[in-house]
Amino acid sequence: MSEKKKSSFATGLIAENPVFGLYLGICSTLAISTNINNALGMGVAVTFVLIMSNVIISLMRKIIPDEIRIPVYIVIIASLVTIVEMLIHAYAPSLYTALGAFISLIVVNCIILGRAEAFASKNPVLPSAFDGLSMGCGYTLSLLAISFIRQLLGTGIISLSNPFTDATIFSVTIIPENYIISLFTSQTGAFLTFAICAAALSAYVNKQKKKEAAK
Amino acid sequence: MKKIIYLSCFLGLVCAVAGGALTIVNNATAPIIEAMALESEKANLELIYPGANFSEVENTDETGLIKGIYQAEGLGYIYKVENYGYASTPFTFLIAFNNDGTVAGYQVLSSSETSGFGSRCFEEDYSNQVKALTSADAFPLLSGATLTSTGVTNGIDAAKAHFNNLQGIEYDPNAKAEAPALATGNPVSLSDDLSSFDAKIDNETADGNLVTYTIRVKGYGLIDPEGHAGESGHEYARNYYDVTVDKDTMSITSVKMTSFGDTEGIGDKVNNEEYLALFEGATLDSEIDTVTGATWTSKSVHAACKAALEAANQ
Amino acid sequence: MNLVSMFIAAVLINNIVLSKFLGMCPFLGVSKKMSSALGMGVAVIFVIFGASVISYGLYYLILEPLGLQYMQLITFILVIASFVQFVEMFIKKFSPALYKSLGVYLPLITTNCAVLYVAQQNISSGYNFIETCINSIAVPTGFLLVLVIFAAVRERLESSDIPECFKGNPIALICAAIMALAFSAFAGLV
Repeated sequence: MSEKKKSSFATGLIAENPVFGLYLGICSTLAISTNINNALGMGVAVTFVLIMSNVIISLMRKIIPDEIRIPVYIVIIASLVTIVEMLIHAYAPSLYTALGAFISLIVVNCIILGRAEAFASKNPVLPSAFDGLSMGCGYTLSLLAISFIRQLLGTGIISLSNPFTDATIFSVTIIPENYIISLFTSQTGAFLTFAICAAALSAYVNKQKKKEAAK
Repeated sequence: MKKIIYLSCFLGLVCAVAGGALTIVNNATAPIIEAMALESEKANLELIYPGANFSEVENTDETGLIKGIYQAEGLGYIYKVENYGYASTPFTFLIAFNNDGTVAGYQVLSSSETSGFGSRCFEEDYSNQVKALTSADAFPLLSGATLTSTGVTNGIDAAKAHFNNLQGIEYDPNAKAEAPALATGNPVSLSDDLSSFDAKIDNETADGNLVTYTIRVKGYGLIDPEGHAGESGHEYARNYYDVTVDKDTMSITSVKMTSFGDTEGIGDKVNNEEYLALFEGATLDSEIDTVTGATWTSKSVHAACKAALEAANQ
Repeated sequence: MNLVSMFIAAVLINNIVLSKFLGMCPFLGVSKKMSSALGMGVAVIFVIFGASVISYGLYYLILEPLGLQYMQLITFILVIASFVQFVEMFIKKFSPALYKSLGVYLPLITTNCAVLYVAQQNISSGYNFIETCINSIAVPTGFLLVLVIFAAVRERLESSDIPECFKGNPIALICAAIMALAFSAFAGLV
């Protein structure tokens, strides 16, 4: 059971990575990934909504009529997102200004609706919650990977600050200012980083497949 | 049919539960969010009423120019206005009225208007003019900064409308401020030596006894030996005038400026019907005022008239 | 603000795909063939315009007077979902070929970030009705423009020799990167 959990977690992270493998939720990935603060904030928000929506939908899976299941899922996800938005606005205002309209766009993040449809509506609560967690972590880690590269190469500084109090937790200048490639903070850089990460994952997965086929 | 009713009811129920959950969270977080907005604005509000007790007032403005209304307890109301002027990004300023209607403060918060032109709307001169008025008055426009000052006065008008409505003050929303009278003085005689202005006659058309001369004159920017050309990177050119002389009376009947080449916002005050009318009836020994603050450009009019009269004399 | 400059700004300068990163799913999914790209683009213009106008009306006639602004997200997304459903039925009836070529991507317009973004932007930017209409047509026109250009590029990519790991979406994203660079030159146009 633990083996199965581990391998399914790994699947959510690598082979079926929602961002680089399945290309879901890329709108927010590209837009938010300018620094790791925003990436973490967004990732946590999405993971929270994913877990909660999976749990609620899984709890209700036997009573939701099949014909209106999509609108019902949408209403549930939309209310969760609105609640998250209100909480972020009240308790982490700097994160709210940084993420802007993208918090409410979590509701159209294909990952959430996709998992609700594919998994939570057919499985009991605990596996659904766990699936939400693994997908959310896969999303957050992909987001962090892109943000890390973009922030490092684009500004040379890696920094993290507490969204609730705006206090800087750490700030490290790794690349001196004269050598930064500011292209990475622009839209072009976002597409480039994403493309290279996706290609890298694809290469890795292909290699694994060749190994499996050769066995 | 029954199925559809059941489905709609189910969806309705889900929406109702969702709505209920949202209302609860909203009631919990809305006051916190509101308090935060007031906190962040407080630093600006203190510029007008330092140390006062502020509270936010409902924004019932329909013009869309007022971004926030704040009441300073017992003192007055502050309006945060945002509008567009000449620049592509909007400017923001605060206009505040004391409870008795007098202007309590006028403070720019952000502006990217052209320095020397639109930015004059936020400088001391205009600010003092604004602070001397009340909420029932019409606020003046600034010549040479039309777009910016129209934006500013429209914003102030929106604030006035709300304030006067609140306090029950009568006023005329369509009143336009009179353009401040042109300050003139320091008369210059046409018999003076104005050769440095180098008036050149380009064209001459006769209509009976009236002759109209097209004259180009050096102005502020091109006069030697002062040589103001190249100052502040401004491109100076000659001023062009159409001067009509009555050959019978040897006097000027009209002066029109057709092209302006001096400093905008300063010299162009001369291109004013009222001022140029002062030259009507002038002869070679008349004395005519110059516009205060635009002496050089005014004297270019004098030089043009002198050249026209001399040419008509021949 | 001038309506014409608003239109140009929405199509070129703040292009929804290359500048705001919204509408990426259909951008990568539908742009393999020019015909489906065109069909999708036009469908999106229709959906965004219709959904935005209805949401605008609902917000200012019902939500705001009742102080229910926090219900905005649920209301808007339900409006969009129903409108897309309606459009799907309409296309199915009147153009089965288009319906077939769009396939699964038509109902997916519901989850197109661009639709919800435009509906919300009209409210948060405080546009009046005319500005809402112009904005709601301008933004998806930008989407259509980019989609068509991208489809043209991708059709050529089919016959190119691409490294194994870049095949499919990664190379498409590199092309998108170059397009974004090109479009960023429009900044300051209006």
